[in-house]
Amino acid sequence: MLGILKALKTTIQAAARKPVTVQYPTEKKELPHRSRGFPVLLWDFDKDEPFCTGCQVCARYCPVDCITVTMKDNPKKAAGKSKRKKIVDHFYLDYARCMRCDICVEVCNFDAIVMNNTWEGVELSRYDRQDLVLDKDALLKQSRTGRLKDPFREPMGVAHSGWSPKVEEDEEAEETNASEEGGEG
Amino acid sequence: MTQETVQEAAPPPEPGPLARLLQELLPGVGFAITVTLLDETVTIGRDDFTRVMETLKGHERLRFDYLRCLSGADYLTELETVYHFYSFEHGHKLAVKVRCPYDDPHVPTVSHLWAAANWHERETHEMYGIVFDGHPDLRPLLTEEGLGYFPLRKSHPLADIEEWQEGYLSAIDEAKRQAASAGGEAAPPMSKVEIAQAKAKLMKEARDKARAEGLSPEDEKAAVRAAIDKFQEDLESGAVGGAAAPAPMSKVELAQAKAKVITKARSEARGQGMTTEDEKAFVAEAIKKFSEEQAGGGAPAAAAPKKEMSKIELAQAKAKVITKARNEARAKGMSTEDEKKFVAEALKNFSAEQDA
Amino acid sequence: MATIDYTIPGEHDLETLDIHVNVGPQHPATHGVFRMVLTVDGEVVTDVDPIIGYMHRGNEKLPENCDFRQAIGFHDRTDYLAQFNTEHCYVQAVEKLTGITPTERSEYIRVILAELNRITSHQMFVGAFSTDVGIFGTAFMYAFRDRELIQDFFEEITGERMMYNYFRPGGVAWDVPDNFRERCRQVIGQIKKGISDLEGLIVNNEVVLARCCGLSRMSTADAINWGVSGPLLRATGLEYDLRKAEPYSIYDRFEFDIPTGKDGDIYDRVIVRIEEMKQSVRIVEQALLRMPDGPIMAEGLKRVLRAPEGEVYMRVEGPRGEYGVYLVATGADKPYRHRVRAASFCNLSALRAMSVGNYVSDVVIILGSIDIVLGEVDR
Ligand code: SF4
Ligand code: SF4
Repeated sequence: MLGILKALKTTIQAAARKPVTVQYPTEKKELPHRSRGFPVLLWDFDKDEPFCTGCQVCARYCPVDCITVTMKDNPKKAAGKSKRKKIVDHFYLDYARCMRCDICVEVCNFDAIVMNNTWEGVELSRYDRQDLVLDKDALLKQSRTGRLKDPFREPMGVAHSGWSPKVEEDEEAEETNASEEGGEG
Repeated sequence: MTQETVQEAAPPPEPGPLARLLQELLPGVGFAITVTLLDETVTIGRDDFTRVMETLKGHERLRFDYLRCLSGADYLTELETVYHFYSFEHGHKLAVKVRCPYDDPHVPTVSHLWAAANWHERETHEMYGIVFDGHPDLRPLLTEEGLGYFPLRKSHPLADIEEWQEGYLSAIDEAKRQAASAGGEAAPPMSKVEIAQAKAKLMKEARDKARAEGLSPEDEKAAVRAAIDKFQEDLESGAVGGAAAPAPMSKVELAQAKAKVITKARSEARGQGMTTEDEKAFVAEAIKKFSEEQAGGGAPAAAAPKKEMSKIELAQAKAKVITKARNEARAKGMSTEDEKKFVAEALKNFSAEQDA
Repeated sequence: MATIDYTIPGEHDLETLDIHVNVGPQHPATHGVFRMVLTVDGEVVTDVDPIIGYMHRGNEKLPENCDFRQAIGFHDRTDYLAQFNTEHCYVQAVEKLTGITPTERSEYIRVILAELNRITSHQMFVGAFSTDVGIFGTAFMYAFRDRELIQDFFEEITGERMMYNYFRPGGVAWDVPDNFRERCRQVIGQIKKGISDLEGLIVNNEVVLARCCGLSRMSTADAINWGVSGPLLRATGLEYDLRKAEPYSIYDRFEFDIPTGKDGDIYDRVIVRIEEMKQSVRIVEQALLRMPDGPIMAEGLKRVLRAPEGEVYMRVEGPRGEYGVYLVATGADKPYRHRVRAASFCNLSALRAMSVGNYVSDVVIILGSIDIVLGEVDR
């Protein structure tokens, strides 16, 4: 009997506290800056093109093989508007298979991909699984329309976790990268 | 840090205190000492196994009462079982290994000594096909019954997950080639989807067909795989033949194609249970063949629309060959290994015929 | 345990019929997709056949095809209630193989997070278990309220709520936020209150006592024989904790006790876990005081991590017991053999020994007291 009374006391005490829940669909908790939704691509507003060069490093390191990328010559380079020699041609990311491990972000040499830290990065229910295979445009939309305001890019993360040497984003690096891809295939 | 197997010629690693104790308590038993981290490791022969295990559990100076882990491992020619022990009484720990040949995977059970071994052995049995003689109940634990293969063996490939990704890539390549032949226009986004869809359809058809024929899940997989391979080949050869000016493959593409050839050859070799040397030779041959093909200016051109029909037929024919071979093998009462070999042989013959 | 009478049905004087009761695979009492076939004789269970494997995803095979760093994410998915503990085990195994020494700061971060994770796991246990016992809802909600605090805290650090993928061989992926200490102290303060809430609800509660005391007693010898580890083993009275018995990481620097039970019955298992939460709080507090500044990742790591030939069986004390990773390296960038020794797998294998001879309704509690995580059992 004593134990039950004690338990009752606990519950009564707790009843006086403030609720800890939020009314989700109408009211949303603020996501922390580091929140890791699904990965999205970033848009380079200066050059008006994606940061992604299609180097396929992320595709190779993704543990679940959910990225498919191809590369093409950058038409803007020929026109002299951009320094990027190569640019992403196709980019498919299968959100249904992605396990949000952040590895693609860490290995990307060009800071071209980040984890979405907005609610749009997690509220992704779809009726059809096929709709979760996003293409380049869909992946860029968030960043391009300015809804991805402040993505978390830990400057030390990449270099420190030893995944890949952080290279300057210049032509040389792109070239070595491209030939590396060819060599390792 | 480094693991050395004991040979007469090389200086054997210094036995630790436990290994010395074991040598003292069990004279006449060969203990091969391996230097590993954290635990002392000894490898014993299968003949002494039960005696050693009983001593480990029962002897008052050893008293290993806690079997913390039991793992299997596949070393291609041999299967290994590793036991990690701990003794609460003395606080010492030991790892014991025992190996058995691939074609005779039998190890005596220890489940009567440590009850903990019961499930571990069941799991190792289903994953590696190691039979623990004397185990009370060797039903599969994690997978369904009658799986027919041992998932954790190195010869068992991962599932088709890469295939789908490759499907995307090849679809994109195809779209590109079409664009190139059409005069440099941007790739129509429909065609790549179409190809992926065609592939999905093909897989489904092959699967349904296999189901309708009442094939076992294994055969069914083989049939589907065959269908996909065929499709892939067709795509490649058809594309090369179809393009007006067969553009030489770019470096990247070539490397990718080569990597694919290597992977394929290797998994084939593994599937046939070749030794490492043979496997290497096999792969080398595949590469040579590939290079020759490349030098010879790609695969012979063939009319694409005609192939559309024949590839399905071919896949079906192939599936039939597999089924037939398998049934024959079963009728002859072959072992699983032999059966696999037999089927592989039949398939090879079939492909040779097709090529001719 | 000692009183178990393996009566074989059919040896009774009267001809009786075995009745098989199928529990699961989708059943609230099974804590996941787990099925057991109970053979009952009236109300008494005479045989239990646990059927597992519904969630088998090849978590041992996949990392054999991934490089060492990629595989960390798969470890989150084994024991999905103690992800940091599993990661801790795996990265230590890789570090041992490759000879990397993690930095001081990262060791502290790892220990703090792993201990907090142990608390969340035990909170989950207490919550789910009390629903099994019949104090429906209340304890569950309290436990989850506090667990949520820690999870928010984890989210601020790693960005994820469940599958953190944060530890790396050599350190951690990125540094903790600047307000780490204050936030951690704040969380710890609330957790302490939460633990006393849970204690108030469960310790000496008549419902719990009536249902749990003396049920499914297990002797130390039996527990050892079945490979049982963790709180279940300590509840039998054996003071064995890998953090003390084979100190790994920096656990030898902290002061903490190993709570033990007396009888090995279910009540002891619950109490041991509640006490363990308090000990974890102690460790976190000490670690917070001593945590140094400095780098969070070892210097000079290669782009591709290759381990020289060798093997290691690394084990840590997870919330459910001994979590082990057996790695064999052959000089490549992937493990050649990758084996996970899951604590709940071994503990669950003793379910038959624990429950035969008890009533059907009690088997649910016994299963609950093992605190299984099916992701770990099936891998
Ligand atoms: S690694 Fe970065 S630049 Fe390269 S393909 Fe991926 S997102 Fe694009
Ligand atoms: S987050 Fe991980 S799983 Fe998802 S795309 Fe990136 S690498 Fe792949």
